[in-house]
Amino acid sequence: MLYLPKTQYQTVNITVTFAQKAQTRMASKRALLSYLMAVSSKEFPNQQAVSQELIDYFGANFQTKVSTIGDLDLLTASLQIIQPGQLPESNDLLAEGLSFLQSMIFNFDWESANSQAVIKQEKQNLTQAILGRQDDKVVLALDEARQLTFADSAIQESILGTKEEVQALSLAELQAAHAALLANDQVLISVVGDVAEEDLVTALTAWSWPTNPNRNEFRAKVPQLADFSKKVQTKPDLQQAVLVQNYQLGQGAASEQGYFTALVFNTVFGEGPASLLFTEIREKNSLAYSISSRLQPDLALITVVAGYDAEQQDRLRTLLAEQLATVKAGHLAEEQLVAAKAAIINDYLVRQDSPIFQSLSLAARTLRGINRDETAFMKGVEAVTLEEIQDFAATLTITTDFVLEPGR
Amino acid sequence: MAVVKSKQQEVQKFQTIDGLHVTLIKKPGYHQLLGALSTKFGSLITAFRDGQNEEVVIPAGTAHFLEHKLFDKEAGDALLRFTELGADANAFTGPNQTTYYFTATNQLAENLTWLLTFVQKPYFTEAKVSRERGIIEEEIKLYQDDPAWQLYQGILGLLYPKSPLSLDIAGTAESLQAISADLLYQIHAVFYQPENLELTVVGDFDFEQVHQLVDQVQTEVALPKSAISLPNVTLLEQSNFDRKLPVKVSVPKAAYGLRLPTRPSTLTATDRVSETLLGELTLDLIFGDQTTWFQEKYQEGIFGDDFDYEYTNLPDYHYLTFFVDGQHQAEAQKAIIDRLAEAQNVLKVAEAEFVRLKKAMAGQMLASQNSPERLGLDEDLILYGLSLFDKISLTTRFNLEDVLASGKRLFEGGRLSRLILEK
Repeated sequence: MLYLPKTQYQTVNITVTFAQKAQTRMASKRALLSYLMAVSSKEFPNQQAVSQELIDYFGANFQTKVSTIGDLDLLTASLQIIQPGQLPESNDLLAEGLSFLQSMIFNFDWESANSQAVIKQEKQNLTQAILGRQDDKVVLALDEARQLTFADSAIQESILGTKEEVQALSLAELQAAHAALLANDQVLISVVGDVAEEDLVTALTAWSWPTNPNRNEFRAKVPQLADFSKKVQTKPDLQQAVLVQNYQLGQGAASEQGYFTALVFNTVFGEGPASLLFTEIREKNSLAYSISSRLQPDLALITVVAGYDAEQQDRLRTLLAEQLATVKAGHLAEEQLVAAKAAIINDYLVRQDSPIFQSLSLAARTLRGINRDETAFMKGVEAVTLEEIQDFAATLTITTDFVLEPGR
Repeated sequence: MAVVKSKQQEVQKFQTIDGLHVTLIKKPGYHQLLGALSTKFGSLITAFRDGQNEEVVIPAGTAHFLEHKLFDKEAGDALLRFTELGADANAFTGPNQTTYYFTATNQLAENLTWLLTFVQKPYFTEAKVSRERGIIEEEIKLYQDDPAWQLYQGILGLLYPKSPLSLDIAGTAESLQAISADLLYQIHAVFYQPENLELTVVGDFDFEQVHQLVDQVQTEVALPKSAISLPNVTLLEQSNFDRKLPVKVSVPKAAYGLRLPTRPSTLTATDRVSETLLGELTLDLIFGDQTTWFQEKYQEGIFGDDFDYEYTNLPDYHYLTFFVDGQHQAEAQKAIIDRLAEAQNVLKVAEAEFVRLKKAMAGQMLASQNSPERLGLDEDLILYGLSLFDKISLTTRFNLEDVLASGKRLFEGGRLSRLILEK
């Protein structure tokens, strides 16, 4: 259990994270499991019962979701309750909330007559969510680019899987996947708030995990990339095109200081209003309303996403290349670096105020083997030099170039 | 000046000599400092009377355009100055307001001074206005590719045809052509005067120091007072109740809407916020996923986990909206119509459910206090001067009679409209 005592919040946030190596055709199973876990258990057999229970916990928030870190697939179940004792008759809320969480995680009633109906309904919800990803042009472009970027088919999969796989899943397959999740996955329970640690330990000790002396323990690894590929895909009725470019980070980015260099580079290059992509491409050239880059250290990638007028593609590409060349050449003012570092530190501190972020990141940092505190983070950012950023920019290699454009 | 204390938190409200409304909210133990300056000028205001009592037309998209241009200073982008001060800044335009805000973890005085200065001291040129059109045209296209935006904008167009509410907040390529630097100056002078502005500061800071700072900065940047005169809004009757948009979506998506009788313009701020909170609670009692009605429709596959609903109560606009994805739109439409018809009777026997939901509402508002953004960017605080703490106090006084009265406002009849996006 990872417990972070914090007195300033009005809530207690509890997150249970299941981690497993990504495997082909697993995404659909885990996504559907996360949907089932959200709406049904022996004690709370349907959506209505779950909703009523959460209302009685002073409008508590319960969510499940699937995500990835590096080569790991994650399934998280999160509960947010108000700080016990803050409102009348709320003193037992922690014990009640943990008991509810236990029920939703462990006790899906596979044997009940109701289970087939619940599975059918959640298959429909998940299928709609999968199809919904195709209606969001940026999500669609990122999903397509993901397939091009990675060598391993398990990592290429969209996080929700495919509608065909979801529809084909049987009760027996789901039950087996659930049993495997409980027995084999690495499990991290993170709690953020102001509660007595012994109360947490007492409640969590009552959770009966299947005995497995060989339970997995993971460190997220950077997945292997495929060779460079370029693809153009059309989608009817679009007004704007979307460009996704993935850049592979050089070996140096794997080190602690390499991470900070990547962070500062990304902020200077494409994250935020002071970045080169925003100021030069959007503001000076009115070329794209949305253009930014994102550092994904768990994938050793920097991803550029732009929404733009398809007729301006050549100009956009020219300007993009020019911004990268600017950084490689070291044509950056000292003030740009100072501002980028300040923005990174500001963003880091602001995130520390969010209990939801804290709760999720406790597990994520453990899985990535990161153990730096606030002081180390700030020192690391401040230590980055212009020369390091130049060297870093020179090691970037484009690995994916995907365009989604208007067409038939 | 009023000071309200809740657990760990403290709220102070005051008004500067020039008329600026200020709310300070203390969040002990937080790194984040949030400053937000809002004007009660959004996309719904489409004309005003100038000093000579001449009507000045405001083209669609002007409030949003002005938001963009206020960042564009003679010395460069105002955002860059925030970045130099270690802050992250942004802005957004809504139907009734435009809000500019920063989040920082230090240099509160410098960031606050810059926020007050850049919003109240404009610099517009024709060249800058011309360049901005290209950026905003791209922004409009971005929204047009979003089915959720098409759905929302489409249902408002059905409920309130040709009204300001039915128009895109960003305007159109054509309406942007009518915006000039002179017009922006004229509009800024009227709608960005301190009396029309609301400043909110949230974080762990000294009230007195910030109070003094705001007073001092305002003496340097505040615009002079002038009267704000707005022509009456005339709304057309609704004539079309069903519309299909051929959009290549993967699953049919529909929005349903019910236009309700307009609420009196004389409602006090507290009454309007109370009505909105009660309306949301009433809708939860009738359509919430804790109801047997929803569970049955969910099991039948008519509604999925995406089913959503909203209640809107604005001075000229008063309506309900529902959002449903899926293949069973005819059944969904019938289910909503039938439920609206029985709603009043359901409410009459909903005492126990009301008590539960009220308790949940109190908990959710308490949880919302974790977020400085939720506190500082709260629309009810900006438009009506009521903070989250005021709203908690209001909800504790609600009873079932209030809910029944709310039901009368929401479920008195009317024809349900539908906008559907389908292949």
